[in-house]
Amino acid sequence: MKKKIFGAVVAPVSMLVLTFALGLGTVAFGTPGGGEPQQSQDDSLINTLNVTTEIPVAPWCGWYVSGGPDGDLTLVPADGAPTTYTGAEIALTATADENTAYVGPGDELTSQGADSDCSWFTEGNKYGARYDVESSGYQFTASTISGQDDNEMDFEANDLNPLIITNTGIDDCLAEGFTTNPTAEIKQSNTSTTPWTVSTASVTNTNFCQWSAKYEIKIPSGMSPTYGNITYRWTGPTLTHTLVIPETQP
Amino acid sequence: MDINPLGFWYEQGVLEIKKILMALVILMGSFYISFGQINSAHAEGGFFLRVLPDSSKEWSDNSKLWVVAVPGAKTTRKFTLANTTNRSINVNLKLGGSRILDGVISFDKDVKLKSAGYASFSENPVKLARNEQKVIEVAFSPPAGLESFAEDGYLVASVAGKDAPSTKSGVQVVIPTIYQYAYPMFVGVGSFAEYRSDFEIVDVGGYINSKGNALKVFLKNTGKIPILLSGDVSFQDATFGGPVLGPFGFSTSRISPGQTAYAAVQLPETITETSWKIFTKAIVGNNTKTRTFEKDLSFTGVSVFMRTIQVLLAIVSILGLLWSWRQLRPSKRQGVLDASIVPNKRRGLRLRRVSNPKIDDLDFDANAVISKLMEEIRAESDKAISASKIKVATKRTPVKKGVVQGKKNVKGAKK
Repeated sequence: MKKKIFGAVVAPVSMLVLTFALGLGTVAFGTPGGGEPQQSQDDSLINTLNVTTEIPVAPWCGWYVSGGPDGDLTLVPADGAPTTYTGAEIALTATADENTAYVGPGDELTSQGADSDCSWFTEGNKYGARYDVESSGYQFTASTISGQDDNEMDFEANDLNPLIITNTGIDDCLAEGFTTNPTAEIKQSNTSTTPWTVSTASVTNTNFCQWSAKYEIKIPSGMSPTYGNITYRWTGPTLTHTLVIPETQP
Repeated sequence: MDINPLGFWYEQGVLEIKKILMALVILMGSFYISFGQINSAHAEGGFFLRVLPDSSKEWSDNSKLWVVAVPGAKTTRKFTLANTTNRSINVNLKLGGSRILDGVISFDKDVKLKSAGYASFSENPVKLARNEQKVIEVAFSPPAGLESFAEDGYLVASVAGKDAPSTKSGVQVVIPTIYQYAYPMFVGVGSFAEYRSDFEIVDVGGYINSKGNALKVFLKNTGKIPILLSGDVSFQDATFGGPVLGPFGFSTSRISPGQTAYAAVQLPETITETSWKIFTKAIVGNNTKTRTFEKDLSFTGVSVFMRTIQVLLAIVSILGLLWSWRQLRPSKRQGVLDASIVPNKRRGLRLRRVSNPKIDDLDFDANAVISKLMEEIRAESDKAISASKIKVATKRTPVKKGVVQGKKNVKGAKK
C-alpha cells in the first residue's frame, strides 16, 4: 500500500520533471529580466578610480615543434643488409630523433602540459598549425668519400624504389585533434607530405603529438661504379620541414 | 592648515611611486599581451621568430606582420630571431606567397609575392652565435608612382641542419635537412590614408554556447587592411531603464578587408531573454566606433551541459513513471480473479492470453480493468433497468387497488 502511495506521488513529479527535461518548461522556469548591476551610468569609470589589483595572467599558448634530427639524415644499411656494394640491392634506413609538436607556453615541453599552463584568452585568438615536409627533388647523386662524382652510380626515387617516410606513433595523435598522415612515399610523382594538420576548431591548450620519422630507400642493383675499392656516398634531395601558421578568419 | 613637510613629501613620494609602478605594470602588461599573440617557434631548427609591435600605426600595434608600404618611401617592421642551440646557426630570410583555401590563408612556396621585389632585410642570412638573439628589420621600398595593391604572404625563416659526418667505411645516403618557419604577413602598397583602418558595427544577436548565454557582435571591415578589433558591450533594460550591466569585453582575430565576422561575448546569467538596449563599442588603434541597439534578445541553442542534464532528467523521469505505473496497476492475480466476472467468451479469451507468454502483462491488465469497468457499467445499467421496471409496477398497483376498492364499493352499494 505504501508503495502505491509513493508511486502516486512519484508519477506526477516524474511527469513534471520530464516536461522540464523535454524543454517545455523553459519559459515557465525562466527568470525575468534584470539582475545585479555591475556598473551604473552614474558611477565613475573603473579606470579612473585609484584602485590597484594584481591578477596573475597566464602565458599565451602557442605552437611549438621540437626534436627531430639535429642535422642531415644519414641512412645506413639496415640490419642484416650488406654493407658493401657488389651489384646487389642494399636497403638503407634511418630513424630520426623523436619529434614533438604541441600547444604550450614555451619551447621546452617533453610531455603533455596541463590546461592551465597557458591560455588563448578568447576563442578568436586560437590558431591551428600545419607541418609540411617537402623534397627538393628525387635524385640521389653519388660520389666517393674523396669527393669524386660518379654519374654511373646515381639513382632516383621512383615507384619501384621510393623514399619511404613512416611516421611511427603519429596516429596516436588523432585523439589530440591532429589529422595525421602516417606514411608517405617521396618519388618522381610526389615530392611532399603533410605529416599533420590541426585546424583552428581542434585547437586546445594542450594539443600534443610525438612521433618518430623512419626513412627507407634502396641502392638499386645492377649499377657499375667507375671506381672500385672505395666508399661511396649518395646525397639525396633536401627535405624541408616547415611549420606553417595558417592565417584564419574568425 | 598645518602640513608636516616630511609627511607631505612622503605621501607625495608614495603616490608618485604608485603611479610609476602602475604605469610599469600597464606597460609591461600591454607589451606582454601584444607581444605574445603569435608565440610559436620551430625549435627543431633551434630558432624562434617573434614580430615586435609598433605603436606608430594602428595596424602595426600588434604582433601581426602587417605592413603598409608607401610608394617612394621606406617602411620598416622589426622582429626578433633567437638561437636556442649551443651551436651557431645561419637563418635565411625570404618572403613567400600564399593561397586561400576555404577561407584559410596558407603558405604556398610556388606562389611569388609581388612585394618581395621591394623588400630587404637588415641582415640576411642572419648569423646567430649560440643562444644569441637579434632584432632584424624588414624594409619595403616600392618605387614612387607604383599602383596600389595588397596581398597576403609569408615571412619564411629557415635554418639548414648540420652536415652529416661521412663514414670511413660502408655505403651511406645523406639527405640534407632544412627547418623553416612560415610566419603570416600582409603587405599593402599605397598611401597611409588609403589603408586607414575602418569598420562597421553591423548587428548583435544572442546565442547559447558551451558556457551559457553569449552575444555575437557582428563587425565588418570596410577598410583595405586587416584589422584586430577589441571592444565591449553594456546592457540596459529597454522597458524600465535602470542600471547598466557591463561592460563585457571582446576581441577578434584577424578580419580581412570586406569581410564580416563576429566577436563572441560571454554573458552572465543576469542577461536574460528580454528587451535590452545594447551599447556596443569597438576599437582599432585610435579609431573608436559606438552603436546602440534596442533588441528583444533571445538565446537559441542548448549548451552541451544543459543537454546532458536534460537527457539524464528525462531518463530518470521515464524510469520513475514506469516504476509508478508498476506500483499503481492492478496486480496480475487480481486481474485474473476479476476476469471471473466477465462473460464466458471473453473470459476464455482472457485465460488464453494469460497462458500465452507473448502477451504483454500491461495489455492483459488493461483489458481486465476495461472489462471489469464494462461489467460494472452493465451491472449498473441492469440495476437501473430493474429499478425502472419496479417503478412501473408500483404505478399500476393503485389502479388495481382502485378496481378492488370499486368492487368493494359496489359491494357496499349492494349493501
